[in-house]
Amino acid sequence: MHISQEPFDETLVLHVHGNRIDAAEATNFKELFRSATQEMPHRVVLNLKGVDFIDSSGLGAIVSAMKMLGPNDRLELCHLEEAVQKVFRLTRMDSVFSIYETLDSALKEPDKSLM
Amino acid sequence: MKNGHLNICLKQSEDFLSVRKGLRDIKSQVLRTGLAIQDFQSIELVLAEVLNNIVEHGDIPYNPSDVQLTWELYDNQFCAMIIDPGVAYNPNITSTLNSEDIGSLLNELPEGGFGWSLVVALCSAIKYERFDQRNVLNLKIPLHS
Repeated sequence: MHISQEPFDETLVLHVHGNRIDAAEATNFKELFRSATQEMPHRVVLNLKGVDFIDSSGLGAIVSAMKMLGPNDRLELCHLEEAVQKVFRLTRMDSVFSIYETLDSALKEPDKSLM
Repeated sequence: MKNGHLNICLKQSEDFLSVRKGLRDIKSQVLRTGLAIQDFQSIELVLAEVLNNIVEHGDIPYNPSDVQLTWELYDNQFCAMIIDPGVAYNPNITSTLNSEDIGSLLNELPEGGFGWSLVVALCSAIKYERFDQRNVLNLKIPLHS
């Protein structure tokens, strides 16, 4: 897995390249996220397009990533595949994160998440 | 044939990569029955949570050790029996996700503890036994859920 960065105005988009955020990848994900957000952006959109599996360790890593940001900063998510949406729904984390259907909607309509 | 068996060989502590390989092998076996890949999503998630729990908390004697997984597709359910040589555990089968578990403040958000709750949410039946110094877990996962 690797994470690439793409700044859009006040938003830092992080693209996850890899199809799993699981127990084997959770620690690596957190380290990559920490490294990518060293400049403390106020809003980060994590683009999960292509991630087709996440388990509870991967979910915990994303929660941990959210906590790495400042108390007034936001981590938002987009492009959740069906299986990933299911994990967020079952754990009720869909009520914690702003989740957008696409990256475009995340960039055009912040705070109007679809889930 | 709509059943199968797999030994997942654990080589070291926290051997999550062997779990991942085991899940890949099970997926290959199950999809050969004609099951739709969408129907495998819940199966993969439940098996991942159970197997990762064994690897992380089972205190398994790695020399190496096998986790045995036997499965069957029956009556629109995926039935699995998972046998591991780890320490006994409490499956806490009444565990559910409560909204009060999710803190209202950022620093109260839990980073763990979702695993068994996901298993409970996705299974229609869970039976745990301790037999011959092994854990025996039987699960039923409804398909099309």
